[in-house]
Amino acid sequence: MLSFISGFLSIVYSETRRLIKGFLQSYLWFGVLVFISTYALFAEKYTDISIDPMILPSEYANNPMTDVLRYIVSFAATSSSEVMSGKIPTMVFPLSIGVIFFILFPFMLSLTLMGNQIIKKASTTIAGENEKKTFYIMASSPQTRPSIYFGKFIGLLLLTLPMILFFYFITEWVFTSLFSSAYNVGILVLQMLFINAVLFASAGMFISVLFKNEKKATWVGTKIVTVTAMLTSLWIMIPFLEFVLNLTNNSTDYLIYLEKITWLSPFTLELMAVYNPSVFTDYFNILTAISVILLFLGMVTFIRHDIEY
Amino acid sequence: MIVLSKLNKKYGKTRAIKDFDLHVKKGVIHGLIGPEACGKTTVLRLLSTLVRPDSGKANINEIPLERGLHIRKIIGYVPKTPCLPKDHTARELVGFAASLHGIHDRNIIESILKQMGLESVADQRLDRFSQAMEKNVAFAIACVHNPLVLLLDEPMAGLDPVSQKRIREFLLASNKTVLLTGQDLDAVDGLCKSVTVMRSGSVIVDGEMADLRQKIGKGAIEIKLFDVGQTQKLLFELGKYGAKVTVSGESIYVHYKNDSEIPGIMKIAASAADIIDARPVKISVDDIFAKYHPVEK
Repeated sequence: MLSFISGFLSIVYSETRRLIKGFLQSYLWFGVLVFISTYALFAEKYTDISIDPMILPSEYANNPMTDVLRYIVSFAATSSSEVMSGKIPTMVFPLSIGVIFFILFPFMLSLTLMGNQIIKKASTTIAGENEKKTFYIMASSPQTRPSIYFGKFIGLLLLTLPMILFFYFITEWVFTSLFSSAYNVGILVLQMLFINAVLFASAGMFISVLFKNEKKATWVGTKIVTVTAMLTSLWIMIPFLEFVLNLTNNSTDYLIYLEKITWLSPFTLELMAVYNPSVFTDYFNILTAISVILLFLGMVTFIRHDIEY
Repeated sequence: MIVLSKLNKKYGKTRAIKDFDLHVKKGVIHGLIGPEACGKTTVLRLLSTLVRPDSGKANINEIPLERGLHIRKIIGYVPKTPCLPKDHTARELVGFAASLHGIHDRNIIESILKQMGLESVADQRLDRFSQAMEKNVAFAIACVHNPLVLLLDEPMAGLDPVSQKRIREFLLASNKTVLLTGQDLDAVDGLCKSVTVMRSGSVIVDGEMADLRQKIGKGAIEIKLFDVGQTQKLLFELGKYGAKVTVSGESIYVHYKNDSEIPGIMKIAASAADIIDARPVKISVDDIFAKYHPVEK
């Protein structure tokens, strides 16, 4: 048993070592882009004021952009007298809008960057070794196929920890120095980033066992991230679409279906969960279940594979 | 001990092996002989649990193939052309293979590297290695846990003469059960005690190497004469000498059981007829097949 565990740890170490080079550059880009997008939030002032939800009724109350739209409408309404008297109104954002900006920009950016990097690397784990025909070393050792698969999975996850921790510290920094600690979503962000890593790692590895070609597997993986990120972008825009359609007296009925399609993207669920903590547990569980299913499917497919060399 | 019974494996529509039976005694070096794509590699891949059989039974040292984890503890496998990660050094790779078996003793790793002649290049990356050196690394990986059974796919292919000699000596001294493949009998000569000859995924014949040699001979000399009219005379003289002779077209094949017979045969042939050409020919699997299945041919 001890030798099995030691062998398993060797797989984890070997996978981490194999992938770390590719991750170093990603860490740098992740750090720089997330820092810039977070630092941009410091350019505005935030006060503890609330927005009246009745100013703009919407069917999409769970969408953070609805609040942004409400704030813009309320700002336009309250500052109109100043504008009429020739003054330039000062835009002071409510704290809740600051938090929304944080969720929509640095958080969304970190989710997509992480998802893209993880799926790119995960999709090479099995497909790459199959293509290079180097699998026989592990496959003919006293390790089971599930332990090889899981070892590679854990090795990959370990490499996402610096990104997750970096963003957690960024969140703590923003909420202690810019927003009120009362709004702090640090723990929620931490959990969501972790489940995001688990989800994309299991999805990437599942893709990896389906393809024998590393390039093809990576292509499919990155395309999935692109499509899901686009769906989430669409979800963010739904309140705007609703607003425009209402202004032009057009039907907004189909937006409900459109919103349901955008829920297919894990990023949408992740943003919703952090924005609205009351649904956090449900969405976290859904994402965990999907991750477990993908991990299980990948493992079963891998077990049934004939290893080539 | 390796026992395979009625083993079958298909790749798509191609039947790689059909009702394959094999029995390799404990501590014996057994050769699996056959032409390219006859299913030899599939047998080794099945035994090393890299692929699963479609049907049939197999066990190694009485452990059934289904218990892959236990099988892999006692086997060492070397592919024909090992593909190894080029960004590792030989030491790292052998160390990794050892750690997969729960071995962390540096002395064991050093010892196997030395045994395979890799101690001077152990810290070089594999992208600087020749094919022969890579194969030596593959041997080190396969043997680092001192397996009871070795599965070697054409072990001498791609090896330089020095490495071939080293591997040969290592195998002969190891007392391990070894199943190795080769394309003809010469490839395993002097190494295997018993042999199984395969063709198109099935066994043609199996038995002790010595018995097989007795029946089919070691090889033949193909002789071409200046004047075919001298053929009868040559056949008569060689017949007196006791050599087994067959004629095919303009070629005369003189079979021998031992290399020491060759000078005698050539002396008689040269005195009986004018020879244009004489060359040794190997006994092919087809010859063995013809010998054991004359009607089918």
